[in-house]
Amino acid sequence: MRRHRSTAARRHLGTTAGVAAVVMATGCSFFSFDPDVEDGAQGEGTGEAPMLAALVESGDLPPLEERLPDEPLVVEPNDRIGVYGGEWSTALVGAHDWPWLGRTVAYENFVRWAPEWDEAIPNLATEWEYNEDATEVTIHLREGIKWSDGEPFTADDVVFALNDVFNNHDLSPMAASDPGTAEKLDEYSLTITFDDPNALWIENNFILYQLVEKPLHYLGEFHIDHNPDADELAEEEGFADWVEMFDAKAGVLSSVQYWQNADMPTLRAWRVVEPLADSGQMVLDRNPYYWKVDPEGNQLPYIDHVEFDIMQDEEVMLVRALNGELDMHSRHFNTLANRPVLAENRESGGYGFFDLVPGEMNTAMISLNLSHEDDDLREIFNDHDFRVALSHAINRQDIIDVIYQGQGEPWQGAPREESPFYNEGLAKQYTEYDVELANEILDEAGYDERSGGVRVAPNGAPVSFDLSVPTDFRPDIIDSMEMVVGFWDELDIDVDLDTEDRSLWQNNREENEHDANVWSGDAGLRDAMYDARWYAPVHDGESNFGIPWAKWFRSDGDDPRSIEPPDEVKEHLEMYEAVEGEPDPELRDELMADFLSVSQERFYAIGISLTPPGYGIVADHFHNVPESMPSSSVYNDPGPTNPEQYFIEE
Amino acid sequence: MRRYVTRRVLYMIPTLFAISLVAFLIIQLPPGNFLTAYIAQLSAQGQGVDGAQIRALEERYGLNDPVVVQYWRWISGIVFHGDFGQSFEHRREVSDLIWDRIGLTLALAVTTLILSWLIAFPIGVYSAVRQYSAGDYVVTFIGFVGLATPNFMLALLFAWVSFRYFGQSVGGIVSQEYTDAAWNLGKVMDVVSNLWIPVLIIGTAGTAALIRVLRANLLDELRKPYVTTARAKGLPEWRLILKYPVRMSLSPFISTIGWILPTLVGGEVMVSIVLSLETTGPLLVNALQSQDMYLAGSFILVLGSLTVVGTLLSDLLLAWWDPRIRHQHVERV
Repeated sequence: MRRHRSTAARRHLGTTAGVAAVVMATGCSFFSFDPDVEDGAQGEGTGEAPMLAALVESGDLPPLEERLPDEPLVVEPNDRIGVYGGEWSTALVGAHDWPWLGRTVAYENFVRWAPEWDEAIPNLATEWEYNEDATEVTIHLREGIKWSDGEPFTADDVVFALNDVFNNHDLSPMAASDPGTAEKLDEYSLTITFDDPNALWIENNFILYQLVEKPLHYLGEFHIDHNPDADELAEEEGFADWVEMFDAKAGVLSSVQYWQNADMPTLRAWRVVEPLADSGQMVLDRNPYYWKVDPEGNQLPYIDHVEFDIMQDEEVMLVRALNGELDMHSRHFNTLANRPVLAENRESGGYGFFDLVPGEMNTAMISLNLSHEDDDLREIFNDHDFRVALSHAINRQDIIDVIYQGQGEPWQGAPREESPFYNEGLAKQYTEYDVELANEILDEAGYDERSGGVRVAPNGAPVSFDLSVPTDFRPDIIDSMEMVVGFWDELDIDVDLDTEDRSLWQNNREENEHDANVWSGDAGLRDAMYDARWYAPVHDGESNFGIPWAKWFRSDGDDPRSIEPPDEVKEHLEMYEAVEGEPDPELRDELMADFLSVSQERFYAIGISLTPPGYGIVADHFHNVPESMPSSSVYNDPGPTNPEQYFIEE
Repeated sequence: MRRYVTRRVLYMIPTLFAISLVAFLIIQLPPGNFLTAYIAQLSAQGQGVDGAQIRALEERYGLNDPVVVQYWRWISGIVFHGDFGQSFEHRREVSDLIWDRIGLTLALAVTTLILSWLIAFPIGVYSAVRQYSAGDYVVTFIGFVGLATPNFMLALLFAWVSFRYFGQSVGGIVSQEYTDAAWNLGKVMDVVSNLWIPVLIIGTAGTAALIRVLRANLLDELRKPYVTTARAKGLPEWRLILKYPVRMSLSPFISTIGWILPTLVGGEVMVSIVLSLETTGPLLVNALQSQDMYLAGSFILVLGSLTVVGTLLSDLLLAWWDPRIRHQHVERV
């Protein structure tokens, strides 16, 4: 609908401009009634977009052969070869919603995930190889790629980004956690060296996309190592020092700032025209130097412009979606609760659904704090039998029926069936609802005494703790935990449900002050390997059952807030180190499977149910979007499905 | 009178100081800091930030310094350099952020005020003069409904109705095709045509309140002997009412001027959020939630100053308007 309106408006602009040429030729004066926006043309794929061909003809742009690398990356379209033109309307909720930018218009790394997420495939890098102990990776860049201003992209850019930006303590906090160092081998190849084995790095690391968005030829001027007069320049431009200036230009600390700089050359399919703001609109245009083509040799992307409406509220986004004003979107409004209303309006809104296979494997993960400061509670929580009993006492099917409309199945913290790491034992153990069994287990484990109707642990402490749930996160978790606490009443244990403001919840976790808490169970597809937070205490911010243990693991015991884990946990952590140190993908998958089978024995946290499939919406005139794609922050949907080959045709 | 004004202005200084201190302290009170909120956000998006990085960031932003030091850094920047600091979240100057949104907020507040005056005045007078008539009951009923219904509820209802029955989606004050266009007549017309909805929604409660106050004041006045005297002298009824009792009961209209200034910055947050309006309100709420303390603190300080100035202005206006108040002051001073 939206498209009709804007096309009509453009045609209108043409006629007015023609008829009223006497008054004003361009229509950009104050006394015009027309939206003063650029005209966009649609055309068949003939090597390059009409808007670029026109620029080549007028001599403002070098011909296509000079802009493309000798061997451009060929992208297989999902369905068919597309046509050039059009505008992709999508939306952000505030400026801090920038990850959606990263996923839609900025997914370019050295390697990328294959759309099916079975392997990593070449992208900016044509080849990459690790040394034997995975402490060094050598990357060969695709030759002849150019930044969006026509300057070549070389190893120097990457070396600059890693060594001069992210290893500079003034510029980046990442320098404190040793992100590795780069060494240039020749124009198009470099080696990156790490302190510890890091075989997973090239496929998934937070720093990766930031290494290929820092053009030396543009940013060098603002960096003191490359321009001794940078401080003077900073003063001229009104900054306190070169650090502040560099951060403002390059957005080292925050991607919000990165996207606010419209002058930044890019390697991505679209470049910023109207920068990110906290309201209004952000607009991107096609990058004339984009280095990918379709199988017929047409330069990508097909779509001319991408437009992000910046909203304040998710409900507004929902209404826009219902009205068919979002061409392709799968963030924020696409909840289970909104599905019926979106389904009902498919026809009038002119859109359909595509499936998202959630990376999330569990609707709620209950973590008893295994490294609790309190000796009594820690002893109780570390009792394997105690956790098994709690798990058996939960009627998961009831929760699924009441809260999740019957979607999902009883599940522990375990990879999904779609994942290469699916392990039925891990997924299904102790999920059977059996209160009698649970009580029996507790009696046998020595919890048979009661004081005031509450069980007493073998160490003499009453079994009584708080279960904290964050508000402002997911209302379904609060509902399901109310039911869980009800089920646990049958065990004669005293659990208080404590709903806390999200930042308080976060703070308690960081300070190791929680008894037990609840969060959603992320990383249940291939991402289980890259983010094993629920399978062992490897994540020092998110492995809620043992944050101080994870801190010990990550800092080699240096962090003052870390606690040394018991030997059995240490052994398990070593298995994960082996995964991280294995350069061979197949062997690595095997090591991962072994690691997960020990997770099954350890049974760190209690899961509830498998997260039901998600969905996104795609307009009827918007093509080449796969019918189904994985959804995970490691996969970065829809990035790996190649948004540059999406196209618009009525 | 001059002494009175000078004294009031001098009083403002300690008041503003207290406001700034309390504002800053309150923002610091909840556990955690901006980074906690920031990390929560990152982790919700599946990105972990490790301990070493958090410590480096805390160092960089000076978040580990004592509150007094942080307060001094902030307030000295404002007092000596007019610099409100930088927003952590938006990575931009606080003053730029606020300034960007002040125009629309101003337009909205002033239009709302004028509209509610225009509606409230005739209705208030009518319902007082025709007390307990059918018309009075009707407007009283509508007034109470207007008072009792939260504005954001109306906004939500409106959003749904306009989608369901008119196929229009709300959100924003500038239509999509004009968003990136330069300002021209078309855009101005477009903004005007979109503005009346939020104005109406935001105005309901204020209008209803004004009607009630005007009615009550006028009722008091109508029973006073001077009205009877004027009537006995044969003054035409409408002229009589408008010239004496209405004038006496207009004070609430004047005192509302004092409230506009603060609502400029903080007013109608909920409606603005629901309708996706680019006013200052949503920015403030967001800043408070993410503990973006320089932004939030500056907001509250600006808000406080405006309230103080606004109160002074309305007091002065009232004194000018109403001789009773003026003479009271003069007697006291």
